[in-house]
Amino acid sequence: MSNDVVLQVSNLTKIYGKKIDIKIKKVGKEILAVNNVSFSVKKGEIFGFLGPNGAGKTTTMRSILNYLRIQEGSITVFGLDHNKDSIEIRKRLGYIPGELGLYEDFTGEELVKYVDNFRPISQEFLKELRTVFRVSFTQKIRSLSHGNKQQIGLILALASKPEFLILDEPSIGLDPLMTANFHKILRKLREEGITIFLSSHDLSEVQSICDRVGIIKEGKIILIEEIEILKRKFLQNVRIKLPSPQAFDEEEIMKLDSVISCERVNNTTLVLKVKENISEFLNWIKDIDILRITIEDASLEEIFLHYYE
Amino acid sequence: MLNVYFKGLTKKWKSIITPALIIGLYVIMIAGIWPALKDQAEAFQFILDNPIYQSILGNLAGSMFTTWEGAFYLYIFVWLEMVIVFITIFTPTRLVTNEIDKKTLDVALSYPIPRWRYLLEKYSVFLTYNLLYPIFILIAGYFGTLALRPFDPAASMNYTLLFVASISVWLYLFALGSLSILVSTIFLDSRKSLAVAGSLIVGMYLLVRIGSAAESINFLQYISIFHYFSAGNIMENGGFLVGEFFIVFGFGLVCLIAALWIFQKRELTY
Repeated sequence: MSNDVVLQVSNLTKIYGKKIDIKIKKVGKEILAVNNVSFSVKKGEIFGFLGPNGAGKTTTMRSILNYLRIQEGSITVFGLDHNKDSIEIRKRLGYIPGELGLYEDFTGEELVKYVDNFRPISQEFLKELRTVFRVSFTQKIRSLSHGNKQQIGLILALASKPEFLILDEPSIGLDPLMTANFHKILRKLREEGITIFLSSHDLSEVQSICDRVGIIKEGKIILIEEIEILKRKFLQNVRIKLPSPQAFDEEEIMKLDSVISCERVNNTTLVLKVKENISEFLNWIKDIDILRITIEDASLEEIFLHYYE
Repeated sequence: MLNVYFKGLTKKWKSIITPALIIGLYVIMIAGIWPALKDQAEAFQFILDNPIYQSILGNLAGSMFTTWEGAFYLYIFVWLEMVIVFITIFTPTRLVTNEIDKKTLDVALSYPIPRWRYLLEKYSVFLTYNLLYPIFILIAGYFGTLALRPFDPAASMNYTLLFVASISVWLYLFALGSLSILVSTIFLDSRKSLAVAGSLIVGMYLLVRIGSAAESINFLQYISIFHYFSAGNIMENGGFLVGEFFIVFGFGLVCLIAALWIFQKRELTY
């Protein structure tokens, strides 16, 4: 395995529950949460993990952290086995779960001291984080709002500058300003060579900070691609303005492999979704009288929905 | 080193020392009313000969209520058994399940500490604070007896025996607490754990009471941990019961090791 790979997940399969045969009756049911999933995260990249609720994102993350026992496959972090070497891995890892809970009778200050005993905190970076997040460190956690608790959780996960960060829906509860600040910090950490594995429902977040994205659907990885390539290669929005209402053979254009959809917005405007080989499409329309054509990359949201429909 | 232990020690002291403190104050209160109670003690002793009381009190029924030491054992250790039942059902069971309910466990276990050690350090906080029970009982027993002397010159206490009896309190808290921890690591669910641990501990408490009610069902008490190394047994035998000590301690140790092993090995699905 290359030294550049921080996380390697190979053929991961996780089944919840087990059937127990008691003579004729079968007790319990199996749920295939993650099915033969393979991907890797390279050093110094931000890898986005996309999928709707129940797709297998959190199960994958909790398997990496060795909270769950996997049925098949292997997981290595820094080339170390996630099960045998979990303590060694956790010395170099920061984590924030999707549903964050903090000790309610602690203050932020006390929590920082507590975490510092496990993973030494960079005081300089902590100072920077406190300037960015501006959350009270002297109030008890129970008296903080959900968003402020999330900020404390993020500070605790990031402050020791671990080499690898696993962030499950990290920006939940943050206001737009805090989210933007948080993204700046993640970009800065990436520049310093820190690897980030992030799951999110917020597609614009993934689009703006991630280098690569993996889309998981019903426990299976259906796509892994660099964000920029994904947007260029997989889906483009084409808007055609005709000079006057005229015949445009929509049925014919839909026969092209590259055209996913064609919708007439009004008499003179058409909107198409075109993927991959756009030259085939351009070749087809070259003989048509067109007033204006605009081609732009689809948003990640559109790509995501395309794969989920 | 011992981060989890010291975190618990500094944060949980109020809720944990309160029952021990109440027991200590209760001893003082008993000492305060004993001079007035003593004159009616013989009538009470007669009531205690009733078979129902005999089964409720177990070996403690043999204590002479007419003496300060006998009354002290009856008042303190009968109540303490019930306190032990209550505490060991509710406190150790929630060490893990409370973290699951409050969603703090995932973050707590993402730090570089083996799961078994995390649990052991948390449980050690419980065991440390429980040392206050024997300490408070001894201190309160000593000062209660001293305070009584002007009113009852015959008031005396065998402190060696009281020390051994109060150790039995800690030992029960350890053994039954370990059982509760074991149950909670198996279920990882607060309601199920409380129900199962509660049934087992209350069940054992009832077995020893029912078992002592009649000769024909006497065998029942042998399968209850409350039958061994109890304050009543210690008082009746007048010393340290080595065999019984190891039965209770061994039971607790096996439960604790099993709990630590299960928590280390099992997957955390909740």
